[in-house]
Amino acid sequence: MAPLLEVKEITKRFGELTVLSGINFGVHKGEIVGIIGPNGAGKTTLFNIISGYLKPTSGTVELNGESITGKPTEDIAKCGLVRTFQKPNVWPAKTMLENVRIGLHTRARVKFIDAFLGLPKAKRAREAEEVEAMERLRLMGLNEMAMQKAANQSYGRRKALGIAIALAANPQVLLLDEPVTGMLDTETRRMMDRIRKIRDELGITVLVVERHMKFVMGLCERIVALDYGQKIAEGTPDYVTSHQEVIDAYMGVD
Amino acid sequence: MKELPLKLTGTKITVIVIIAVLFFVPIMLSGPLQLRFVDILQMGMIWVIMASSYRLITMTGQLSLAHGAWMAIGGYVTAVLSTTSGGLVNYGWNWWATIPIAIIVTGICALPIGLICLRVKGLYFIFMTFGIALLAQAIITSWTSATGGTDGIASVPSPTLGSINFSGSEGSTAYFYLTFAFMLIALLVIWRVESTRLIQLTDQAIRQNDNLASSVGIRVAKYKVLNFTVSAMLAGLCGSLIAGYNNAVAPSSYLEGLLPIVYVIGGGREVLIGPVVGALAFSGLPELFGIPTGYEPIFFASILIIIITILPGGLASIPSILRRRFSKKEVIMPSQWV
Repeated sequence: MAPLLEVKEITKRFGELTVLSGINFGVHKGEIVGIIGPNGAGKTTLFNIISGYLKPTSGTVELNGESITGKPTEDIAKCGLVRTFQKPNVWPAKTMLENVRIGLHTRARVKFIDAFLGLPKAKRAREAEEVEAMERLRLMGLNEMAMQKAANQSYGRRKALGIAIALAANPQVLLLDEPVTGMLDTETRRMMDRIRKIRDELGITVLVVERHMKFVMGLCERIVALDYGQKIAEGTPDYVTSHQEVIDAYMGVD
Repeated sequence: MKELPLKLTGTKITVIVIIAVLFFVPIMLSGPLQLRFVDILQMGMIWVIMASSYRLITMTGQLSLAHGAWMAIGGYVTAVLSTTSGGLVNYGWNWWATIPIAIIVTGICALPIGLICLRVKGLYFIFMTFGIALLAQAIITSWTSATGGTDGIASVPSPTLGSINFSGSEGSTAYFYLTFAFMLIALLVIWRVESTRLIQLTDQAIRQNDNLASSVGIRVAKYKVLNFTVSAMLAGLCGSLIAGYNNAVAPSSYLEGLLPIVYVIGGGREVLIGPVVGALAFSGLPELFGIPTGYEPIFFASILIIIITILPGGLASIPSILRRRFSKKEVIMPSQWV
């Protein structure tokens, strides 16, 4: 079965500096795949290329067999690939519920004309929207503070909100950029359960970049290891972490 | 459960008062006082349209310095099409007929410029629009065969409607109501578009965090360009209105194009009523205070600085500030949705 998301020979150069060279891997539907590597390995650059924030120097990214390389982020999101951000990225002046409702926008079933005229169809769609938004919040454990402003929430909650917003856009593939960086152990463990639930209940495929090794080992079924812009290993967590090159990359070679 | 913004009732009262004053005072006054009122508020209403349309750009989080250029294009299109001599094409059209053309031409000019400028954000966007304003000025002053250069185009005919006289000081009252009608239509259109929750939420989402907006599929570029172009078209309409009023068009200082910014910030940019109040309140002040020509920029700059320092939400935020001050209960600020 062909992979849902395929990264083919992705290379990125900034002038003389080669940040990524010939990255190849695929993510199958329903998998939770992790990308690991020391600082400077190119993980964030790879993420930015897949999600459309950067154009690769060469290579392609394919979603469902169709190329999404170089497309603007908003188009890629509409195709079904949504990313979250390393730093909590929310709409601070709005409530948690409103934040998620904005994410539902891509699938707004309210036609402009209906809303313009204020038809009851529009009202019912709006109520359905609220129910859906609450669902996403519940999944991320945020339903109790749905009416609070996003700016007042803790770091961990705002990151969780970022994921809830991304979920509202109904992705097939969810790209999580360091979802537990800066979080407490308890929050990290909860996040692992939540991500598994996202995959199990919503059928969303997950690609996650993370430096917290326990998190990656416990959550991901497959891991891709990068170092200096190259893929140095790919396989199950046990395989990758016992791979000599990976150990060298993290521990340094004498 | 939805909560209406606290400002709504105050807004309704303000709107009714403004419409009533604008509609009835010219009828009730007479003589030189009436003429003065009509004169000052004539331009005031045009500034209302300019400022309200400018606010559309700020709604998607941008600050444009090119707004005056659109007004100029609209005015020159009207002038060129309706004069019978001295312009590029002397079709001698009816003033009314030039309006849709002026609006469309302005839109056609604004669209590609919007597409180019909106690829960049923040300070870079401001600089690019500033360049556009200077470019427009340069074209106007040097394309003498079309625009009459620094002399401009005179003998732009006034609008005609049956036997109503729109020209000169006898026609100023009639022109006042003409502008009043256009202003109401423009505000109605902006209001209805904005009340659409979809547009409102989307614009706010883009304004407050456009990276996040695009990451969930909101077509940020499209909305920015849309607002930019519609805003420019309304400014073009203002140009035509001014052309018909002055019976002439001439290049003016590019600083004039910056005045909508003062009115929007001075009046308040979050709400529709903001630029209306700002334009009406501030545009007539230099004349009322007898500020000599050439000193207006200092005057407006001072207003801007004062507003930003002590009243960042503009005049429109006064009711909610008063409410908070004098409310005995703890006021929980409602969320921004309607």
